[in-house]
Amino acid sequence: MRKLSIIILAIALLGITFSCTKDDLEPTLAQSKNILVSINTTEDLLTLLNGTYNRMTQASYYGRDLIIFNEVRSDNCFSNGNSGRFLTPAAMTLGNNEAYVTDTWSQIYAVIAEANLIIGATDIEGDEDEINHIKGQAYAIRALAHFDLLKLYGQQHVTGGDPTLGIPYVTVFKDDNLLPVRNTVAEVKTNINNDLIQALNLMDESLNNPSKQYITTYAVNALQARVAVYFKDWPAAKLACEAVINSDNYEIISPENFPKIWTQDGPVNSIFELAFSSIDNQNINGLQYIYRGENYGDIEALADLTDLFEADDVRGFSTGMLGIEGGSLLRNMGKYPSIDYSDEIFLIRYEEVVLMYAEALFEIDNNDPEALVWLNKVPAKRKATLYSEATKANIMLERRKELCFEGFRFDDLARTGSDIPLVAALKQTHGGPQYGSYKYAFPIPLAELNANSAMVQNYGYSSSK
Amino acid sequence: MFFTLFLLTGYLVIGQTVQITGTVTNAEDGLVVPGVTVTVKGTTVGTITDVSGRYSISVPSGSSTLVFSYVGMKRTEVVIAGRTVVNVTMESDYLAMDEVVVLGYATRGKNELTGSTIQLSGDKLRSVPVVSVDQTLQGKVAGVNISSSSGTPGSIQDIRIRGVGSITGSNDPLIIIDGAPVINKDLSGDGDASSTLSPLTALNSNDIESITVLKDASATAAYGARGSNGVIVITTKKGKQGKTNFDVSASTGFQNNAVAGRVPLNGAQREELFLEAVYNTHGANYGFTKEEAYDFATENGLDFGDLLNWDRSEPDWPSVVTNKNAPVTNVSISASGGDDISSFYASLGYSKTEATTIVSDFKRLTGSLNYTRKFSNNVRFGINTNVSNTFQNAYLEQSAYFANPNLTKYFMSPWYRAYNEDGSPNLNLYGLFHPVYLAENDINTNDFTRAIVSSYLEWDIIKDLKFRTFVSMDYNLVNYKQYQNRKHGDASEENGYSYSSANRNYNTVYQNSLDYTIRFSDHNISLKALMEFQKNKTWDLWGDGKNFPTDDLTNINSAGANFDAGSSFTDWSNLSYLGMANYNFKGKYIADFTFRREGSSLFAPDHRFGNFWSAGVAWNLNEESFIKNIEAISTLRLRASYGLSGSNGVNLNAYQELLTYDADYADQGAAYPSQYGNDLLTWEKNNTLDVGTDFGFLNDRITGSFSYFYKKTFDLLQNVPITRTSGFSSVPRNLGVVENKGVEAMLDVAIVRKSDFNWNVSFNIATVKNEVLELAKDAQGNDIMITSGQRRTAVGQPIYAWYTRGWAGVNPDNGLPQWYLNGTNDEGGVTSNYYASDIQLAFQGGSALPTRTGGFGTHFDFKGIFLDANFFFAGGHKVFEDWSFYTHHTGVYTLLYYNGVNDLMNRWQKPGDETDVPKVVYSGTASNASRPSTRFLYDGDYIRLKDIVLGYSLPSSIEQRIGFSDVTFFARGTNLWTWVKDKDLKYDPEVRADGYTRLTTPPVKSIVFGINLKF
Repeated sequence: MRKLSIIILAIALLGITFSCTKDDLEPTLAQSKNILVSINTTEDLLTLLNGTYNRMTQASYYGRDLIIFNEVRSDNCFSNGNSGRFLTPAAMTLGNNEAYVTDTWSQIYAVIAEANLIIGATDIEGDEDEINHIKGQAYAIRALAHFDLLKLYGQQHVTGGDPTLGIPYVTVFKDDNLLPVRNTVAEVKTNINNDLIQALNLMDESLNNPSKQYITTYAVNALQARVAVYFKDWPAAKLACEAVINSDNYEIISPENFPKIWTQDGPVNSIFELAFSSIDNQNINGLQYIYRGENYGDIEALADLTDLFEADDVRGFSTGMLGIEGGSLLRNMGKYPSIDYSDEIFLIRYEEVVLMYAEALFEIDNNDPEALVWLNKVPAKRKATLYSEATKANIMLERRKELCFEGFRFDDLARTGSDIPLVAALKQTHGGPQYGSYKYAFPIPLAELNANSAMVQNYGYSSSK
Repeated sequence: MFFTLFLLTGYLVIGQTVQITGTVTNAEDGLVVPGVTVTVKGTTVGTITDVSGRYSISVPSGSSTLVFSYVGMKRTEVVIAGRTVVNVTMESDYLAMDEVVVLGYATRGKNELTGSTIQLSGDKLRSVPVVSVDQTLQGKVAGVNISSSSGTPGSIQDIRIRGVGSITGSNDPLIIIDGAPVINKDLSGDGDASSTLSPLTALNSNDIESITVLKDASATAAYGARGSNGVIVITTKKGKQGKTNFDVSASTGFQNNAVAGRVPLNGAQREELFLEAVYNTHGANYGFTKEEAYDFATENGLDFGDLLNWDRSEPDWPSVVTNKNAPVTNVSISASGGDDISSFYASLGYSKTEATTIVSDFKRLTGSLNYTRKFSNNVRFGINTNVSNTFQNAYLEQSAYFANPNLTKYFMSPWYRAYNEDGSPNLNLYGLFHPVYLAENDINTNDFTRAIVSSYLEWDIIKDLKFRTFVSMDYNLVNYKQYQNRKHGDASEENGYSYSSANRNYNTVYQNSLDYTIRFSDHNISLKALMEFQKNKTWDLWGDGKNFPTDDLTNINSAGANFDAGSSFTDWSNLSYLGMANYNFKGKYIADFTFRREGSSLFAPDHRFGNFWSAGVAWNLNEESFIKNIEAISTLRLRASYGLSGSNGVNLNAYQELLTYDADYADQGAAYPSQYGNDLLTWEKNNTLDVGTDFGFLNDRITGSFSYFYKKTFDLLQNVPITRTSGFSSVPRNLGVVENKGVEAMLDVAIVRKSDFNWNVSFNIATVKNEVLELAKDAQGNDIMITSGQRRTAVGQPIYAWYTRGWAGVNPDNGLPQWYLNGTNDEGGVTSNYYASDIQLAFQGGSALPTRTGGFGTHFDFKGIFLDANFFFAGGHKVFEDWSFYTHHTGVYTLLYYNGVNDLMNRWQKPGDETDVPKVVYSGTASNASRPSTRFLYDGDYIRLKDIVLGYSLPSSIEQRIGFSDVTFFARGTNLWTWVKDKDLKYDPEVRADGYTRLTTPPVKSIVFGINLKF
């Protein structure tokens, strides 16, 4: 009897100990949420929008690389290789498997993916106008990102291959088609403009964020102008610039304040800027560390640029915007200066819009006196001599002086059909390629070619897989 | 005289007890054995032999048998048969330990195994001067390949058993300690950038009783979903019945790098190459001669002022960063003992090792207590506790950080002084950092505390039915601290940076099982039913701050600004049900069957559970009468097994489509899609077939085994690359098939076997052939190959086969580098354009996985002197020299910005020169000559003298006189000699499993002297 009761006790014991259930196997998600159930309210959409902007601030996109690519592939700057950075972009001899090529491609498409996630979100509770204002920003970001990809990887400035090859224009998050083909340059341009128009349809001026750290309706207008100028669409550029100018929201910054805005948030001449702070920044991988200092400091200015500034010009040596380090190194000292890496990056400034307006007026009618008026508005606030005549050369010169170190120069040279000037043969390493050289485009990354059999490599670059 | 004795014994017989006396001696040398437990069988009467081996015991009338037991000797029962003096000779029990093999869930006799399982006893592992137990396995087990991630003490090891089955999933085997599966991932607070930290460093090798390596399905299927890559079972020492024995071992010695590596250019060499490069590039255009190159370069600032300011001294940076003769010390003391009811093993160990690179060192204190007790006749209790504290001084060694001293060795310009006139470090280094200054002023430390407590209760419910419950708790805490100083280094612009983190991992395992044995005639059936639940939780907490007002105060409290902090939590769990049956007929025919159903939280809810099983048979031919009659054959066994195991080595929550919320923008929370997700994600599985034989001839003077295995892994977890236009780079999928097959053979020959003179030699070899059979396909039906760096996984090739450009040497006419257009040979021509649009890459033969590994060794002892030597070899694989782009650059990277290796002195100089180093030029591109190609891909074959031990054990007579049971002195050398087949591979051929050399501390060779005492 005792034996039997022991056996029964044993079996009961077993039963208890075998009582774990399937539910004990559900893992805890403490830092992430499942996408399928987490996008429900306006606040969720705003969190995603913040994520999209955050992706734009990474070093491989606007956080550093895109801006530097456009400065070293020009007559503004060169790379001295102090930390081995940017040597191949400066020589314009990139391999299809380099990090510069792959990471920037991947990061910009990551921005587009999140913008598409926002655009495609349905059944959101909340105020419809606010939801649309967020979606409108996503459209604008999508347009800007594709525009940047096209300028970097598209074949529109290369002769010898197929100059109509653009980049894939992606409009769906987690699309079923995992073998996208390259859209033509014309298709990309049309899609960009349509996205910007859609952005304006959805956004509401009264909901524009005053901090400038989020895209506003005027920022969209400024982007329309930038796209139009790149594609020589001068009437559209003129209209878009007027939308910004006539809003009376912005001013060209005064000469006293010009050196100071670079450490400020949201100055009056900023139309759209990317937010950084002392604890949210790219640290040693940002612009501050690459433009000066002993440890990185790979990017030096060329004398050809610094000689352009007159003695009193507030953009030059007199205010410390330009400087000399270590006895002989010409440096950008004033833009992105803070040693705690906390400076904002101004993506769109009012001065750029003013100069685009002058250029549009000039191109529509070479003799238009307004072109000169608008051209001179900038040097007037910089203690520089005014121009006597509005010529293409003067306009490009003023753009170069005002927007140096901010990532505009290569695109200005390419869109005007210029060669890359060789002004310092011992420092510049690209050898001054002529317009139409295959070097005017980056190669398509090998990782993309390996994963996507429908992708075609750019002319002059290897597709060996 | 006789009359008196007779009366005495007669008195004893008539009374209640009989007094028995006697002496116990050792069968081998005839010497007496003190401390032997003498008991009367069936009673609690007992005594112990004295120093002279004599005993005296009162035996109650009616008792007939005395039992003699002693650690390390065969338990002997003697029938009294009316005697009053019973002398006993006891035989050593040195075979007993080897006869029992611990398989984790079960224990089997050696002749009951149906699969390939190898057990190493702890004696082979103690006193090896390495800090983690897995390092001691290298070269000792056929089919197990261990490569170290770094020579920094405490670093994790890459362990591969029988090849590589997984492309994306983990290839690490499962580690079991005292029955509980434990985590085995890098615990360092900054393991991606700084030194890694292995949780196995918390164990003292001297506390290990045995390590069993389970390789085939019949053994690993019991581990179901995690056994696919093999299982390593570690068992710690337990107490034994007998008087308390003490064991003390101490050793000390020193270490250096095992292989010297390349030598950087010195100042004079660099100047010669620099001026030649300036001349080669600008001489023609600017019209100057070679002799005038110095003036041209310095006047135009082409040297950035460095050559002009060089004082012509040679700083010898390699010796600045090397810690020569780094000391290593180990001390352990343990005690074990027990009686009929309880037994214990307690130990304390201390270990201190300095690395061969400055900055890094390692200290560890371990303590353990294992205790067992019989609560009653049917209930047994046991508890194993092991607590340790490890302190590792780490450094930024995982990549080309400026603060990495291994980088300094090759990248620091020899034109910069190392020390100023007054002996202080020279900090004017224009970009790189001074390693000695950083070693003295920066902090990068892991303080690791681990506590493992396992306890069990066994209850014999009825005869042959046993219930066992087991609980194990494993707590790992790593406090990591990093401080970058204010004046010189990565944080100099921010006035100092401090980061601290606390990473805690808590692992609990519950097991409940029932064992039942059925015996009838000569048939034996053992059955086991077991349930196991494991839960693992990880908490991370970190903070940092910048801007310190003063030196020497390095905690975040003292920082002034830019504070940031974060915390996170993750967990996973595992639930399984296991059934095992073992059938044994007369010890001749054995059959094994295992079934396991396991569920894991790592997979999608509908695909969590998997079924795994195995079947094995063995035939012990030496028990058959027709073999027993052949005297020469002492052991002959045939065995075969087949089964299905799995692997869950996928990242946590990989099946979920996730939004991650750890970003921010403009001080607001930001989220981003972080994971593509796959709701069909499930186990990787493999089928393994194993057949083999174990044999022994001439009374086991010659023993050995031979096995053939075939392992097919399917439903492979692959991170299939997808178009980056999706915003993701890959999707995890179960697709693809890989096979591994090979043979393993071991042979041990005892050439001389006498009591005071022994000599034996042993060999082992394992081969593995790895091939991918199927991969994922894209929408157009093409295989999606996975390419990473210079490696590619494709059908028909091993996993991560080497795939790169083919180097065609230097053109003797113009000094330019050349590559084969077809990637393999010059049939298609050569080109000097690395990025030519028609250049092809090709598979270069093999991968980083050795196709053959093994060892050979010898043991020799004569009258107390002993010598052991073991060699390890590996071959059939290739190794790639990483960072060669920089160190072999024939342009400004080596001659202006950083430094290069002195192999550059063999550069091409004039037409007609035949060499492998191209012309030096003043350019950043330098024709891409040093970009990856077969120029830097070497055969990895090597042979290494892994261990050589010379020692002397005092003879027993002297030992007994001074009161010890064993006194041994030894000198041990590890990795003393290495032979590398490819003369161009100058770095240590032992690299991580991915086949790349690194800028980490290389493997070390060491010499230690020590003493073992037992009393």
